[in-house]
Amino acid sequence: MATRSDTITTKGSKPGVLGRSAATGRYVLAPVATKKATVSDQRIAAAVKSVLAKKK
Amino acid sequence: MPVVQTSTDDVFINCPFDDAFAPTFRALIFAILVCGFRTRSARELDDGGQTRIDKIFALIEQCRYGIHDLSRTELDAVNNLPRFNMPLELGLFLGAKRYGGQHQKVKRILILDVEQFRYQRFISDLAGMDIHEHGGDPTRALREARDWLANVSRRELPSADRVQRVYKAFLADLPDLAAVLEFHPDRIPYVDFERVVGRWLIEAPAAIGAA
Repeated sequence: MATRSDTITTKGSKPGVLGRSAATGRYVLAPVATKKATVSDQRIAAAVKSVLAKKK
Repeated sequence: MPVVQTSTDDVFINCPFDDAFAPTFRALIFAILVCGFRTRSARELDDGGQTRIDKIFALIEQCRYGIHDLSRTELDAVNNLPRFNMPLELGLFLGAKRYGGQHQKVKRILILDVEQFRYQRFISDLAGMDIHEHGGDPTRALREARDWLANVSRRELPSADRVQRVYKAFLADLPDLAAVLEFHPDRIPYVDFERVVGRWLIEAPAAIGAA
């Protein structure tokens, strides 16, 4: 008798890459987007750039 | 029933979410991100849809790695009762590894506590497992997490000293980052904090990691 598998293999979501850290050489992965952040990624990027620029 | 592969990049953090533990929670998040992995936590769950326990089942199922902190054994100051969420989620993770399919059996677990052998007095069934001690020190937790990830993932990771230096530089920038983003530096929501860490790691100059 023919059998049919009812299992489906689903690949875990492959994380996106944000970029590479110069300080460590490692890629940095994007966070899971299940819960919305309270501030935008653009605003976070601008804040980080401005704070690091002041230290140059 | 669908078979879900675990993500080899995902690290589940099971720890207290109280203010006293926040510096250690942050250190663990940083250690995971700086080493090129992705943090997963019950903190990322929203309040709609499935029951919370179903969401935690799914979260655990998706993660290859789990860091479980058993520091918080004392009674809650408000209710005078202990918190059982951490032992419960450790049990779920161990159960998935023990009884799950091929993708679950390869899960790896780091158990942290303030003292290495204290668990024998409150969760003695863990006897024989290697509990790692951080002494309540976030930097030790950071290094323990890094060393463990290097060991179980077999990936080439930045050294513990480098990770510690980079974290120190991040902490120095954190008050300014919080001010620009209009957060209290001790109360940045989890979902925002991991984004701030990720972006800071991308933008920080190479010299920050140098000895």
